[in-house]
Amino acid sequence: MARNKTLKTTLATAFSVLALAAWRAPAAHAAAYHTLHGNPAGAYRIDPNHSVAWFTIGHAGVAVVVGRFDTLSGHYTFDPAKPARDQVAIHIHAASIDTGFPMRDHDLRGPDFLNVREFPNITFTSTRYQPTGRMTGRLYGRLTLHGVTRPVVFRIREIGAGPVTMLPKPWGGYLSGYEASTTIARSAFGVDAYPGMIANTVHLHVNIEGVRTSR
Amino acid sequence: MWNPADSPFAYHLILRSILVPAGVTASVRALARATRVTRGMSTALALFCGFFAAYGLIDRDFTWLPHTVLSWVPWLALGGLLLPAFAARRGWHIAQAARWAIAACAAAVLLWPVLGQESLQTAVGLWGFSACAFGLLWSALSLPSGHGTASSAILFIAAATLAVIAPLSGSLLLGEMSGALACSLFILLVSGGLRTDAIAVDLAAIVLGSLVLDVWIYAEAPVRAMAPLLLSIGAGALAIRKAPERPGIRWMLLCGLAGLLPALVAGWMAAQAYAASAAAY
Repeated sequence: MARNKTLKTTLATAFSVLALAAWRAPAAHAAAYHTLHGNPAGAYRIDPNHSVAWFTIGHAGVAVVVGRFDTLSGHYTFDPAKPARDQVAIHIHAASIDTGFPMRDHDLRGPDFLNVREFPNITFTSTRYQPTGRMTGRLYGRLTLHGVTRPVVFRIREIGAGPVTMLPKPWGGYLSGYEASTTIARSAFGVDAYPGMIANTVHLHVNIEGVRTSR
Repeated sequence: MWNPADSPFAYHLILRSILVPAGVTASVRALARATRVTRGMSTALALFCGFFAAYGLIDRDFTWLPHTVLSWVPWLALGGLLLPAFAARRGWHIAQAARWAIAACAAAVLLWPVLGQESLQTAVGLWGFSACAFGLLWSALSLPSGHGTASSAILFIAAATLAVIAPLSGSLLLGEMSGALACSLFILLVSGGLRTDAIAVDLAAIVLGSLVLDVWIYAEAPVRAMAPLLLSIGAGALAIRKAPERPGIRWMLLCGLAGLLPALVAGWMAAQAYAASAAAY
């Protein structure tokens, strides 16, 4: 008799938990996407799984080719109170270039263009940051591509910052994200093959998601 | 009908890798003949001017210190031209030693970026193989007595084959350079050939060797294409060595054939690798 009562109580509790979970689950899925506006201050590690460097370049005088670098890493610091001290270092694996056409990617990795066996890395190191608005600014630094280092200026826009429960997996963390863009002349970096077929101007974009490592 | 002159891309390709090197080589050779320059010096001068006129249009990088492996080609060529020429005054064996030393240095310089990324064992193995192959083929082509036409034919066949392998492996730039070297050598071949003890052979060998290494390592040309190419130079050089001092037309054809057959295999293999990669997409 007592055993039956315990079983009934256990089943009732289990059904209650399942019912509560079923009631909460649709609410979680239905939560609207919104941008987080937390304080972005801190030191961050770039999350390579949620960051990408991509570029566009004129092709044959009639079209634009879009390509990306799949592997990048790095870190950055952001202090709204002292923006001049902000630092950014980005490390791109040149061989990870992907334009969606493997034969062209093979050519781009070769000696006519990036020569990735000789110059395996593309790096950017900032020298100073100059805010131009509440969430925008100019990031000055040195870009090393094809073994040549040249000064460049990225236009920066902060996307958002705040605590995220699911990322990085499994327990979540404090994230911030930025998008940066600049324009370079490939000939300035010694990548000047086929000037009649491929434009000299390259529009470079970097989308960064960082995981805060310290405040 | 397709007209290359209508395509700026094809026009520049033909201009830089065929017309300019051929024209400059022929002009300098004719000028040198008109003056009292020795035959050995005139062929070297013609080859140097012909190839580097094309290099100036293709890569345009003569900076010191060179910042890419491709930019090392002019400086290695200068070293390969001067050192054996000076060493030759001290005897043939000293000149051969100089060739081996330059080949070892050239292999180290050209492979340096890759050697730094490999383990010590792999790096030493790669450098050792490259330096030995480079030195062996170079010294094999540099004979003490004259078999000029045959040796220029071997060098021409190798350069022309490399001009096919390089673009099929993804480097039109290296293909253009190899094509320019082949054109300059062709002009010298039809105008009497190189003396095998001439400094022009040293120049052609170091430029060709540098381009072979660049195509193999940096354009990642398939080994099944590069191995027959090396075999082509080796077989050609061996046939020349076996030939009598004054070879007749039959020996000339035999030497040419010894180099040509493996070269055709090399070109075929490169085309097969290209077709396979294109089909995989």
